[in-house]
Order: sequence, then C-alpha cells, then structure tokens
Amino acid sequence: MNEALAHLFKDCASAPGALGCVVRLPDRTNRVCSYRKDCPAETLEKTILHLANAAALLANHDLTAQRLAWTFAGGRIFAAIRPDGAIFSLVTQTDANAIEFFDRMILQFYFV
Amino acid sequence: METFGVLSSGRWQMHRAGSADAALEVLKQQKIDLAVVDINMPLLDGVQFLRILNRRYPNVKKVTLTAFATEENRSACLANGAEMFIEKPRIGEGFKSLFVILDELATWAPAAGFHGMLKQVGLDDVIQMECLGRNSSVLQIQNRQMSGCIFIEDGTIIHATVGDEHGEKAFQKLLAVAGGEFKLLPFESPGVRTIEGPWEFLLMEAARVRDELTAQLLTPAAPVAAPAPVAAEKILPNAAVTETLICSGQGDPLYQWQCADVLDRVALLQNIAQQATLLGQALPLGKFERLEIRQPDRRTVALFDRDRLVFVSVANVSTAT
Repeated sequence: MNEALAHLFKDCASAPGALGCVVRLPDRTNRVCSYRKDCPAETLEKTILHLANAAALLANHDLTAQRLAWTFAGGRIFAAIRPDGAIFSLVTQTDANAIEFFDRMILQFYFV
Repeated sequence: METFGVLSSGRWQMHRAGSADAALEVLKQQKIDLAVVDINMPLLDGVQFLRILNRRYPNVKKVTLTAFATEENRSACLANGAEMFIEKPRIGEGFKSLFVILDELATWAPAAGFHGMLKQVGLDDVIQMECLGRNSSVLQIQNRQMSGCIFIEDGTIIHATVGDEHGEKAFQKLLAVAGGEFKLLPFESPGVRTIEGPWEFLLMEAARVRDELTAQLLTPAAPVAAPAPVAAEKILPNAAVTETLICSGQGDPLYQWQCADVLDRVALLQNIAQQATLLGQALPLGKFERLEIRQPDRRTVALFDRDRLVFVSVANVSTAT
C-alpha cells in the first residue's frame, strides 16, 4: 500500500461515525480498511463494486458524477470518482459533519 | 343489479361487464359516474383493473365490492384509486345500505376547493400540494413549543416566520417540528419576502436539516475531535432548477418540468433504488432515503419516499464560501 493511501485510511478513521473506507484503483483492484466489526472488509469490497456499477449506470444517463452521497436512515455512503476511474468511498453512520469531512478527504484521494 | 334498479327508481343507468376489457369498452362508449369493481375477475384482477381505470379515467369514482374483504385487498384497492372498499352484503338489508352508499357517492360532486380531514399527512405533503397547484395560502403551524406561518403565493414559498426568526431558517425550523397542528388559511400578504428559490429545493434542504438535527439528537456525544469548521454549502441566489420529476411511490409520473425523457428518468430512479438496496443490504444503515449526485456544473438529488420519488437537478447551485 502506498503512503498516501495509508494516510488516507488513517485519517478516515477519525471521520464522524466512520464504519469503513475503501478505494478502487484504476486497475480495478481494491484497498479496504474496516473500522468496525459490523462493517467487515468483505462487505466493503461488495460496496465498492456496487458503487462502480452505480457510477456507470449514472454516467449512461448523462450523470457523470464527481461525488455521490447515498443517505440511509442510519448512515451514509460517500463516494468520490476520479477521471481515471478510481473510486474512494467512506461509509459512516449518520452524522451531520460526515459530508464535510469527506469533502476534505477527497483532496487526499487525488494524491493516492 | 335488478335490486339497484328498483331502489334507484330508474335514476341509475347500469352497465354490466364480465371482464376488464368489456368494462373498458363500456367506459369508452358511455359516460360513467361510478365503477363498481370486483376483485376476482378473469385474466386481469380487480386491483390491476383499478390501476388502469385510475390512470385512464381519473374522474370516474371507483368502489371495490368483494366477498374477499381482507386487509391486504383493502390496502391494495385503496392504494390503486378505489374511493371505497366494501364487503359484499349477504342479506337484503345489506343491499339497501349498499345502495345508499353507492348512490351518495355517484351523485356527490366536489365543491370548489376541498375540505376534509387528512390523516398522517406531513407538512411537506401539504406544502407540495399547495405549490404544485400554484395556490396562494398561509400555512399556520403550532405545537406546545412554537407557533409560526409559511406564506405561499402562486405556488412559491415567499416567507416564513416562527418566534423571532424569519426566512429560510424559520422555514426549516417549522418543517422540523415533530408533531402539532396546522391550518391552511386564505393568503394574506406578509408585506415582506424573505425566501427565494424553488420550493422543491427548499423542501429538500429542510428535510436535510431535519435529518441532521434528528441524527444529532439520537447520537450520543462521541469522543472524537470535532472537525475544523468548514464553510457550509450555500445555495446561490441564481440557483436554477434545470429539471424536476415527481412520481408516485409506484413510479407513476405526477409532475415533470423540463424532463426530456420521463420514462428514462423513471427507469433511472428505479435503477438507483435497486442499487441502493444492493449497497445497503450488508451494511447496518437502514432504509435508503436519497442520493445526491455532484457534477462539475450541477447537483442532482433523487429522493425516495414511500409515497413519492423525486428527481431534481440544479445548475450552478452550490459553492464553498
């Protein structure tokens, strides 16, 4: 794991309500970091796969996203998509500050 | 039918149809005031027929009359446009009562506007109805803690006030009220305009603020360092809604504005809901509520409620200040 990615995972651990974090690299390999037992690495692997599919689906409808925020009753899944196809996702429990935190992390993601 | 012919003293003209296609043929050829639909029908059942009837002939009053009066059937029929769900009477007296009910419904004509009681209706729904109908009204909201008003003029939210607060903050505060009473009063100009912007976005922002307030109340203070203050996203005064689509919970379009391909958007909303189900199924996140999509030139929000699917795109909407 490169240093920038390790930093990103470490910093995301302090995200409000953080459950896990996952990055899909341009070569379609995934790097996963789970912060809680109820959000295991295998689940995060599936999450990033579904996010990639969703991003492709949206792009087919002229909605090529830079950032997605999926809001559920008890939490949120954020995703940032780079032009080279890399995806960074943070899964959190509902917290008002999580989106602002994620926005700050996006900058780090661009250097991964 | 013979009984009803006698009871109506010839006022009713009745047509019998043994199947959905025969009934549709009658509806094509005759002006029908009231359709009485059984649930057990050949090929197309009563619930499916009601759905078609409701789409093609929304002004025809519809009643389900069935021997299978289960709760499941009742909910399905009422959800698909039936005004009433009645169990078939077994005795003669029951038919007399049934006639009185049907006659009342057949001859009932709505007065201008409407009155009645709405159960389990949120403030969002009332505001949405007023705005979609381009109505002018004052929505007075009160509970033990507060009392305030939202002013809607020609379908646009122009002012809100609660206590000492005015404008969008007051609007969001009123929409965050967990319970209370509301009255829809005739419009009176507030003499000031404190709210700008499309009602769809105002409602979404209010929903977002309400969700976040609820989350803050429910989440115990966590021993994490507070993130550095970051400027909140603000809606620019020149924010422009570029597309709006509102559908029923079943995906039937109810309102659209500048939506180039409604069916394509409905399909997209349904696909998003499917993806959300896949995303959420292994995570402890609960029910899916909305998706926000940020693009370089616009922001799109897709809202998923039990009764409504909403898709709104806003160009050049947000910036960090």
